Parts: sequence; C-alpha cells; structure tokens
Amino acid sequence: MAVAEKLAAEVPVALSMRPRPDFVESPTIRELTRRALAYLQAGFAVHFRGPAGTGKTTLALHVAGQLGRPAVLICGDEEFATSDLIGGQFGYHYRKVVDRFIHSVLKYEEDAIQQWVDNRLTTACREGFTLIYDEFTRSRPEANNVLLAVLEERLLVLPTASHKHNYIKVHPEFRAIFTSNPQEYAGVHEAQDALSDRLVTIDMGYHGRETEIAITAARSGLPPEEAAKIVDIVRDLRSSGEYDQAPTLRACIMIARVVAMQGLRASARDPRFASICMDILESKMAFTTQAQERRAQQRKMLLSLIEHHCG
Amino acid sequence: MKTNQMRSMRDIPTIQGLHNRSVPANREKAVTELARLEHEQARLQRELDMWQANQRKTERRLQQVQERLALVQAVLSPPDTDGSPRRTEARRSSEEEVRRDRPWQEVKLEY
Repeated sequence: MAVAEKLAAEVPVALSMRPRPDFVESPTIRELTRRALAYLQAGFAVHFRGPAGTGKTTLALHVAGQLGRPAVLICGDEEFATSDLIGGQFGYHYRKVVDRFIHSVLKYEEDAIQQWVDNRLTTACREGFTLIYDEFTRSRPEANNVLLAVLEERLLVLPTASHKHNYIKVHPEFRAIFTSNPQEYAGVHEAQDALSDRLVTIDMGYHGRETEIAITAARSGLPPEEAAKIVDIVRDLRSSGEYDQAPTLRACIMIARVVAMQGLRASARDPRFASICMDILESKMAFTTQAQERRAQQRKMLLSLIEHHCG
Repeated sequence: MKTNQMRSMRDIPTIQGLHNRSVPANREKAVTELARLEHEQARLQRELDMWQANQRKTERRLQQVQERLALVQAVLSPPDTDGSPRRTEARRSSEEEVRRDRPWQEVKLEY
C-alpha cells in the first residue's frame, strides 16, 4: 500500500504535442524538421540557434512532436541551479516508533529523512522523454554541467547519498532539443564549449515572404492579400536597419490579429490601421530624448512604408 | 496394545482409560455415558458449524480482496487499446520495477 500511495504521488507529468489547426508547414520548415529528426534519430542533441521571432521554440515543439514521445519543457533561467534540472531534497519524512512490547522497557525511536524529488531532466532521462530546453543560454553555464555526461556518456549523475540510485542510465529513447538566441544581450550567458560541442547546431533565419504571409494569415484570420501588405511593411522596416529591436513575424501577427478583430482593412487611408502599425512598430526604435530628430525620421519612414504598401 | 504407537499422554494406558473405553457394565453407567456423549456430540457440532461459518466468511473476504486487487491493477496498467493480448507479468518485486512500466500524466500542448 505504501508503494501504491508513493507511486500515485510521483506519476511524472509530460507534454503531448500536436500542431494547431492553423500550423503552417512550409518547405523550409519541412526541410529543417527532416534534418533535425535525422540527427535526433542518430542519438545527437539538436540546437536551434537564431534571432527572436524566427520560430525556434515552435520548431523545437514540432520536431519533438514528430518524435512521438512525451516531452518535458524547461525554460532557461538565470536563477537555475543543477537541482532545478535533476531534482533535490524537498520535504521530510518523519518516523516515530514507541515500543512498549515489554512493559518495563520503553524503546523510543524518532528520525526525519529528507525526501528526494525528481525534476524534469531526471524524469526525462528515466522515462525516455524528449527534453526541450528553451533558451538554455539564459541559465548559468555551471547549471548545465550535468548535461555533459547525459549527452555523451548517456549517464545521469546524481549527488552522492541523496538518492538510492546515484547513477541513472539514460533511457535509449531520451532525446534533447535546445534553443538559443545568439543576438540576445539581456540576461544570457555564453554556452560552454563542452556543451556546444555535443550539440548539432542548426542556424535559423527569418522565414521567407511567402511563409510569413501564410503564417500571418493563418494566425490572424486575415485574407492572404491583406496579410501580405502587413508582412511587406514589417519586412521593409527590417531590411532598412532603422530600428533598435528587429521587427519580427510576431509584429506581423500582432498587427494582423488586431486588424482582423477590429474588422479593419490594411489601408493607409484608415487612421486606425496606421495607428496600430505605429503602436506596434514604433516601439522597435529606441526612445531617447537626445535623438528626437532621428526618431522623427524613423516615424516618417514608417508612415511612408504604410503609404507605399497600403496606399 | 503396542507401546510404539503411543503419540501423546492420552495414549498412555491407565486404569481410568480402560474403564472408560470398556462397554458399560450396567444401565446406570450406560445412561451416564449416553448423556455425556450426546453433550460432546452437540459441542463438536457447534464447533464444526463455527469453523464452516468462518470458512465461508474468509472465502467471501478473499473474493472481495481479489476483485479490488484486479481493479487497482487495471488502474496502474490499463489494457492495450489495439486489442493485442497483454503479456502476463510476474509479481513485481520492487518499487523500481513498478515505476518502469507505469503510465505518466500527459498535458496536451498545441504549438
């Protein structure tokens, strides 16, 4: 009974992925998926690297879904320690025995044992789940050291005397997918060479125009020709280099979804459409009091882009 | 009487034992023994009834436990949905072996 109760409390939780009805699988995405699956099936970990808004996380989820195994998702964090990956001693198990079997003898025992609780990496290694480690460079490099033996020796090394099995043989079905953004400068660390050397890194760039239009239309409900105008504005702004934070596909989807929900058309003559574009895209330019003139020029350029594509 | 067949103190021949086993010599002794034997018969019958009632009660309880056990085992290892016969496994000896085959709780994620 004790084992049954313990098991009920320790049933691992895993993600079961499936694509949304509006998921767009372009030839580029299909090719990236095929390459990643080939490396994963050969037993190597895959690392999707690219700037924000290129679909790294979505692709990682898609590839994990194609593997057909349950997955666990970890998001890199500055505060992460090894125990956040493998688990640790949490809570206490108290035991008290008062033995009066012989009336003249009192035997009294009391002890408190710390309980080991598995975290997601341990669960994934033990059960053969797919590990998706999103933005892993946001964790400090030393927190990820435990992954070195997992990926190379296929052995999870747990702290001594903390667990009845200090070494866990990694399940043959265990696979790992990492994502990171090399252009990010806020709250990220360098990946250690030892870990990078164990990963097959696939660099990702922005999607092509047709893919961006298809995704924007699918995620907003706008007709493709309307979505194309919004995508062209964002792509032209991106290629101009006149920004401080690259405008991405997310900006396209934001504008398109609000336009669709408000029942508007992508037209420069509609001041509400122009204001939505300005609200979402103007924030991609740094707000400084010293560079008012530059800011005015950027605003003018943005308005001319709207006029050009939606005039 | 063969002495090597003695198995307990009851089998040691005594004057009283010989007296009790012998056929009653008169009517008074026969009536006394008849009464004693009838009481003994009734006592043994009550004991037998009690044992049989206990047996029936234990069998019912055993059946309930087996039904409950099958229910709990079905929760831990649901049958295959494809209809293929499931391999009968020997009773697992440790928690680690139980853990290896247990299901996990799935959370659906759309991307």
